[in-house]
Amino acid sequence: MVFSSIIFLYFFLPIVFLTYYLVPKNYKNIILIVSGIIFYGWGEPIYIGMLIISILIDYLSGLGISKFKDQKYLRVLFLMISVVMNIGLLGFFKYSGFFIDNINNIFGVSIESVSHPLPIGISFYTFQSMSYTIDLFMKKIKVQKSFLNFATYVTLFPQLVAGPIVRYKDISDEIVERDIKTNDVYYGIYQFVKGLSKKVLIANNIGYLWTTVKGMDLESLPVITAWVGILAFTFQIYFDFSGYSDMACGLGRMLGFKFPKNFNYPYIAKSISDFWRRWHITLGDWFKSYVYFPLGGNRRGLARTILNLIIVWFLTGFWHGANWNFIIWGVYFGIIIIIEKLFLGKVLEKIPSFFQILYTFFLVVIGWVIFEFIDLNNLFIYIKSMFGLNNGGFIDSGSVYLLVSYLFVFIVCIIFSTPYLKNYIYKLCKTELEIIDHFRVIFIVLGLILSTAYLIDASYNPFLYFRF
Amino acid sequence: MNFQKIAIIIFFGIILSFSSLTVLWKKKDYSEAENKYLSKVPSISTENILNKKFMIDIEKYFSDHFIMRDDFIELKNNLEIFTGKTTINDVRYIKDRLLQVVPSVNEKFVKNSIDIINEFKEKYGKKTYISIIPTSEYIYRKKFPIDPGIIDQKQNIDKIYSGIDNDIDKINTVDLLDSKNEEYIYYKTDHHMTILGSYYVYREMEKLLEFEGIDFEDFKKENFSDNFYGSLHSKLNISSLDKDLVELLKGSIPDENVHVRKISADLVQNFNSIYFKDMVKKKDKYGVFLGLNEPIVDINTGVSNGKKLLIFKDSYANSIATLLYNHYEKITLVDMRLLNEPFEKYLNLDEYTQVLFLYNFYNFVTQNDIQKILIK
Repeated sequence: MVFSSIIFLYFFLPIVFLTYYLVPKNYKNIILIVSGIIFYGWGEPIYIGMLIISILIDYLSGLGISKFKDQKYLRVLFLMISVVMNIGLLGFFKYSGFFIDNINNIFGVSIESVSHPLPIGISFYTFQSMSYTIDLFMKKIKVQKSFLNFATYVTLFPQLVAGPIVRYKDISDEIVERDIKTNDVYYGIYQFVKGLSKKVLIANNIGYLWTTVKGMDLESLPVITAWVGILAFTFQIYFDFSGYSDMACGLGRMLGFKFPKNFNYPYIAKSISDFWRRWHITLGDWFKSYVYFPLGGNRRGLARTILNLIIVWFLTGFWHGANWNFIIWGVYFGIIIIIEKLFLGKVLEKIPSFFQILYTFFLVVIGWVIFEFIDLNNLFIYIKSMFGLNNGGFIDSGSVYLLVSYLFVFIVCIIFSTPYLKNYIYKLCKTELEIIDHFRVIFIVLGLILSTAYLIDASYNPFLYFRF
Repeated sequence: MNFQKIAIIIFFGIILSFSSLTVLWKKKDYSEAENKYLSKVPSISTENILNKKFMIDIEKYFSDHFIMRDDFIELKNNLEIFTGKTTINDVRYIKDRLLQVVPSVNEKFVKNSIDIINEFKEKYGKKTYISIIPTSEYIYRKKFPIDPGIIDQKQNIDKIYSGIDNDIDKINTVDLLDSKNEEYIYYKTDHHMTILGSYYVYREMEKLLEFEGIDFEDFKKENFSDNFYGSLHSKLNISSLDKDLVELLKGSIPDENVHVRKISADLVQNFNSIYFKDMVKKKDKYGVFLGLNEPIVDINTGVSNGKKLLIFKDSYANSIATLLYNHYEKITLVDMRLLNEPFEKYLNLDEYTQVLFLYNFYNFVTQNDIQKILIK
C-alpha cells in the first residue's frame, strides 16, 4: 500500500489508528503486526510468506547469537545465517538478473535470466533486520526474546517499505514499552500531512515536467530545456523521498515511536560530504556502521581509507539498483568525497558559503543525471545536451513554455527545500510561538484537502524509492 | 481542552467524515461530469487477491465514488491553472475555451492511411475526395502567450495531401477556418466544430463535390441547447467556463421524407430524422447530429437526383452530414473505428457516385483504423 493513496488515507489509516488507540496496551503490538502484514500484502500478496519466514530466521539467529555468547564459532554461524539469508534474498531478487546479464556479456555465454518482480521494500527491510543481528553480535544491544516484539519491529508499517532505515537499537525500548502522548500524535499528524503535501502537491507536480522532458528527443534538447528537466527531477526526488520519510516519521510518532531523521535540507549542503550527511541519513549511517567502520574506517592509513571509501560508495550506489549507472553514481560521489578529504575541503572552507552551496548543488544535479539514465548512451546524450554539445541550441519557445508553466512550482520547490522561510517565520513569532500552532492547524486542514483533490484525479503518482 | 487535542480531532474528523460519507452515500453508475461509467464493487476471491486485481479495483472504486469527487477534481484543476499551467489532462486551457492537445504525429499511421486511400482509389476507380479538418488547437494557436509546442497542422495537412494521388480531390479548409477564427466555429468545451464551422467546410466542398450550396441566411436556424459542457470539459472540469450553444441549420427537406438507418454488427435501427433530439437530456449534446457514433449510418433523403455519397469518417462528419444531405439522394457514413468487418458486407459500393474521406487532423495522425478499409 502507498501512503499517498485514497485507500490508505481514508480507510487503512482511520481503521488502524482508532483500533490501535482503543485496544489495551498488551494488544497494541498485535494490531501493528496485523496491520503491517495487510499493508505489505496489499502490494505484494505473494511475498507475505517470505517476509514472515525472514522475520523468523532473523529472530532465531538473534536467539542463537545471544545464547552462545561464549562460543565464538556458533555466534559467527548464527550471524552468518542471518546475513547470508538477507543478502541472499536481496541478491536473488535484485541482483541475479544483473550478474547473469554481465556474465553472459563478458564470457559470451547465454545463461537464462530468471526475472521475478522485485518485492517492494526488500532493500529496506533486509537492511533493518541485519542491523538487529549485527548489533547483537557486536554486543551493542540486548536480545529480543519475544517473537511478537521482534515481528513488530520488522513489520512496523510506516518504515516497512521505503525507510527510513530504522535500526533496531533506535526503537528497541519503544517496541516493548511506549507512551502515546497528545503532543506526539499532534506533531505526528503535522509531519504526516507535511510529507503528504510534499509528495502529492510538489513532487508529482514537478515530476510531470521531468517526464515530459525525458520523453522528448534527447539529442535535440536545447540547453535550457535540459537543465529545466534535470532540475525538475532534482526537486522531484527530494520532495518524493523526503516526503515519504516525513510521512513515515509522522505515522511512527502517532503510534508512539521516534524514528531517526532521514533528511536535513540536503540542497543547502556546503560540500558533497556534507550533502551525504543530509541526504538519506539513515542509509549513510547504516553503511558507516556496518561496512565502513568494520573495514577499519579511516584508522588504517590513507591508502586503506581511500579503499574503504570506494567500497562503501560502490555498495551505496549498487544498493540503489542493479545497473551500472547506479554503480557509477555511487563511485562518482566516492571519488568527490575522497578529493574533498584530500584537499578540496580545505579550499571550499575559504570561499563564500554561497559558492560552496553552488558547487555542491551542481555536482549533485550532475549526479541525478547519472542516477536517472539506466541506459548509458542516453546518459551521455543528455549530459551533452546540458552543455550545448548537441544540436539543440540554447533555448527555444518550448523551453520558455515549460519554464513559465512551472515557474510557480519551481519557486515553491526552492522555498520548501531550504530552511530560510521557516527560520524567518520562527524569528518573527519568537515571542508568541502559539501562532505557529495556529498556522499548523490551518496547514493540516489545507494540506489534507488539497492532497485529496490531487489524489482523486491522479494520473501520475509514482513513488521513486519503491524501485529500490 | 487544549489546542493540540483540537487539532487531532479535526484531522481524524475530516478523514472519518469523508470515508464514512463515501461508504454510505448513494452510488452513481455514471458520471455526467466526466462522461464515463464509474467502476463497480469488485468481487473478492483468493485469485483476485493474489493477482492484486482486487486491490487495484477497490482503490479505483473508492476513488470513483469518493464523496464530492467532482468538486475535488474542480478544486485541483483551478489550482493547477492558478499556478500557471495551461495544459492539464491533455487539454489546453486558454482564457475562455478548452482545446484538445494533438500530442504527436504518428508518421507510420499517416503513411499507412495515405497508402490505403490511394490503393482504394486505384482499386475501385470511384470519384474520391479527401478532407482533413484542422482541430481547434491549431486554429487558436495565436491565443497562447507562449507557444506550448503546438503541431503545425497546416504544414502537416499539406504534406499528407502531397502524398495523396492526383486523381483524388483534396479539400483544404485550413486557411478558410484560420480566417474565421474570431467566429464561433468550434465549441469552447468540446472538441467538435459548431454548425457554423461545419457550414464553412460544407461551402468549401461544394465546387469539388459539385452541388450548389445553400446560403447561410436560407437555412432555418434552430437553437437546440444552450446548456452544453462538452468532451473537453469532462477531462478538465472548470465551472468558470461558459456553456456552449448547440445550433442546427435546417434545409428544405422535410423530416418525414428522411429515413435514417443505423447498422451495427448485431442491430439495425430506423429513425425518421437526422436530428436526435432526445440527446438534449444527455450530457453529450453534440449527439443531436446523427446520435451516437455507429459503424454504418444510412441517410435516405427522399430526394431523387441519383447522387449518392459514401463517407469514411469520424465524428466531425456528423454535423457536416446534416448540411450535405440536402444535396444527395443518399449518404452513407462509415466509421472504421467501430467496424471490424469488411465494409462491403453492409453496403454495395457500386451504388455510390462519390466517396469522401472526412477526418479531423487529430484522428488522422493518431489513429490507424483507415487501414481496415481494405482488409478482406
